[in-house]
Amino acid sequence: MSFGRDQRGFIFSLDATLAMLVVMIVMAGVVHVSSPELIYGQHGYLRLERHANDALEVMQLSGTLDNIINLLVEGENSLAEELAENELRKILPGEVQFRFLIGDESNPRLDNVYPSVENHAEWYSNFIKAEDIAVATRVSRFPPENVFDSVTLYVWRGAGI
Amino acid sequence: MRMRQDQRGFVLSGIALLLVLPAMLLVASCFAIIEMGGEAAALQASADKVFYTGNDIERVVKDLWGESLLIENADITLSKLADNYRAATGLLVDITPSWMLWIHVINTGENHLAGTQYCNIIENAPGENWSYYFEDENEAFWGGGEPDHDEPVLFVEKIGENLRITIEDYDGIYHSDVYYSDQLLWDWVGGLEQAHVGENTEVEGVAQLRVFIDVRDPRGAVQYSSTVDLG
Repeated sequence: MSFGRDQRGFIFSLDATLAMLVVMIVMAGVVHVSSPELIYGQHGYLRLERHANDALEVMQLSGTLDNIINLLVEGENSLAEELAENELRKILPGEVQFRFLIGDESNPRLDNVYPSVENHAEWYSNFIKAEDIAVATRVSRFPPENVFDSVTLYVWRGAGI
Repeated sequence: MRMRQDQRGFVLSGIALLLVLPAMLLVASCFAIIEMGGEAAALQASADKVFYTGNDIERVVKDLWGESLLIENADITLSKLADNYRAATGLLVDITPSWMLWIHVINTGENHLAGTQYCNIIENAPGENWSYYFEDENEAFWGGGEPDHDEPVLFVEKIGENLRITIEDYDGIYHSDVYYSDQLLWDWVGGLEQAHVGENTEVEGVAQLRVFIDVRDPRGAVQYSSTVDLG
């Protein structure tokens, strides 16, 4: 094809094409390295955190949290543990695992609430090793002394036991 | 510089250079977008945490009022609550109570507020009526003794969506103005003539205790503020 004298345009030369290719490869590399891990990772964490907060909110609004606290006050710790496990298992998706704790980590009122009644040591090991752990916290009043204590829900993604 | 025939390479022509420049600008923009996206996600996570905490504090404060646990030492109870939230969440939490009824003692020029040593509050019938026992003498004049807390005595009743306030007694020689928030209910109450004793008035709303809640993350990027009226 030949251009007439009155025809105008750019000649896209081979070296320009190569320069474009190099730049596009660099750009693709930058996007690949920075973006997916960071953005999807952060949004994944955000979703995890919302799972935790929403689960505690549901327990609060449905009265389950009050029932658990009442059982603890009455000394029925195993019933409280069972109720918390069943309720959280129902609320949270299957791929989201959890640990529920009432009180201080060092001296808890209720601990060992995991997705299954047994294998607590394995669940704790999974919890320690989990990459991303989201936390939701509330404070509740404990009668009859009416002291305050924290209610904490840890959630992470992982396989069940 | 001249190139020999056996030397090879690319010549970066003007067009090629022009193509490289916008590509570099695009790369820089791409970095900015990635950074902003990451920041937005982190900010959302903080905002969620602050919102849920603020919302939960409101719930607990209403629960405490419902159980009549704020009538005595509301400031101490709410301060403990704020400490617990601070420890549990790592957020900065302030919970400040402010009672609506107070007196201005004309003779001393002092304001004596409910919720302080100058007023005892007793809930006679839960959720229905309360008695406020104010003291118009300053603490410095108590002389180590107990004040009588009867200047004035206010009886507060919930009548539908309003509060009826009655001055039941004023056993002192001073005079005081009685306020509900910033609304003057009576001026020149008490004295030897027991001015206005036996009178009553109604105020709009049933709020007796106003609680200011402020939750923010330590970076100061997210804040939750609300006011809860309890009555």
